[in-house]
Amino acid sequence: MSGDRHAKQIEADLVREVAAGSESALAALYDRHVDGVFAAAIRLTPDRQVAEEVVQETFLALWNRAELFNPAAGSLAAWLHTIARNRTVDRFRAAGRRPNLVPFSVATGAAIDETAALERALAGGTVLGGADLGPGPEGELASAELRNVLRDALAELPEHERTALVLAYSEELTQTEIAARLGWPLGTVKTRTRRALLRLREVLAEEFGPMAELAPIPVPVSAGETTDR
Amino acid sequence: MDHAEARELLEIAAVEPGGFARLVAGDTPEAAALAGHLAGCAACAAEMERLRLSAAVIREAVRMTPPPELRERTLAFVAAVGRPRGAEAAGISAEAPIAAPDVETRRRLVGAAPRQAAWLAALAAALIIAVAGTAFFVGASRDRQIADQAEELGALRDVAAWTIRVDQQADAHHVALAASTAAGPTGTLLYSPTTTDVVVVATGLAAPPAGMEYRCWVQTGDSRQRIGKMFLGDDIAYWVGPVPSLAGLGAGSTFGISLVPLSGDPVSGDPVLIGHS
Repeated sequence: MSGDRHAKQIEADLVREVAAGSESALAALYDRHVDGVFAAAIRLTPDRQVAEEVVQETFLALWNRAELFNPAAGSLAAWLHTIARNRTVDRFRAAGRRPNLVPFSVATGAAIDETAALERALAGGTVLGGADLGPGPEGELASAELRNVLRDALAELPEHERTALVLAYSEELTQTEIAARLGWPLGTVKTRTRRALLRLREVLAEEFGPMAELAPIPVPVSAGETTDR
Repeated sequence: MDHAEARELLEIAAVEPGGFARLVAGDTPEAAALAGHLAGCAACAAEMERLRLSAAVIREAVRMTPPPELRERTLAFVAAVGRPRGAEAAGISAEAPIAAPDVETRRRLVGAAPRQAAWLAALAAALIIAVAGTAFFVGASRDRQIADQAEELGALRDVAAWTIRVDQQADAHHVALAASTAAGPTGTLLYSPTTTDVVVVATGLAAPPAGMEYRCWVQTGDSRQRIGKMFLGDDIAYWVGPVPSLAGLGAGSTFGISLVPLSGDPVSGDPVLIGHS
């Protein structure tokens, strides 16, 4: 049995265990899929609380409807991503607003990738033209491998450094706003966010080599100077 | 400006929203000093570009990473409000009554719904059992049966999602809907005056005659306002959505479901189900 088929079989077994009432099986599926489910939600909304609630509702749907998952019809990841997207769009619909971006698959109601959805819409004459934006240089670098490395490195940061960096990057807070939110001196916030960023860049350098485009370039040293940070 | 000062400015810009843009704009003494340094230092200029790129990548990774504590919240949430399974499910029958949930327990589970909201789980179990029990249709009606099942399950999904959302509001109100006879239909209405979201669920309603439909309404004093048309499934009727007229609604209102003509006044008619807030 190939590795991919083996993984699918394991997942199908876990879903059957969830249907039988196994909370540990649900936890295992959570660990496998939470990143993708959260990403599916956060791409449609800037509100992290909404995205977190969508994660909760998606795994609730998995628990309540485990019998409805058919491994032959598609992957569990795609099934969960569709639920997460629909939940997020539901919230915008309820609030009378539109999400930041509605993928074609949500708009057409089909659980297929965006390129295929666009091609189908073009072929049917419902769309005159469209373009796949493509990942761009940052996106190319933000491969799944890179995200996994950074996710693990983020979890290993000292708590204060991780908190400061998460507030800066996920909630777009300024250093002053972070200081006010956490009750820290501004200088402390600056030190902790800089250290967190440096640690993550060092992890990237270790993982992808010092010549990678993300690695820090050493501070030039003149004769008699040191580079203590 | 020396290298250390330049690097410090760059690193702080990397973690500030729009930091690099402001730095590059060069309209502060610091930005001007930095620009002068970078013009003469290839290493720091290259480091700025690497910092911009790595900050963008790291920012994206941070945004896409769920918080570690979400795991326990999610598992607790499912344990609190998920449908009964295994040995617990053996005690749930298709005729399980739907009781109004108690929201107080929810406050002890951050981000989770109360176990007393298992009324919703019982509803889910009842509908899934009812739908699964008809899954062995054969012949030309099978496709229609499957489509009906999918539609009903989609309706249940909507009811569940809205119920959880409304129930999380601090001012969530539950109203029991009752018929005039003990053996008649029953229902529950859940609403929040703050968000104006409403969930109405009823069971036991007879199929409406041709040309008639069930509609839900709210009455305060002598004024009756429409809520919506009840959608009928196999065993349940429901309506979910926002109702602006409920904004700030206080106690003492009456909610009802009436059978009305399709083209008639949507809030007329004697109620088949009625309840008071």
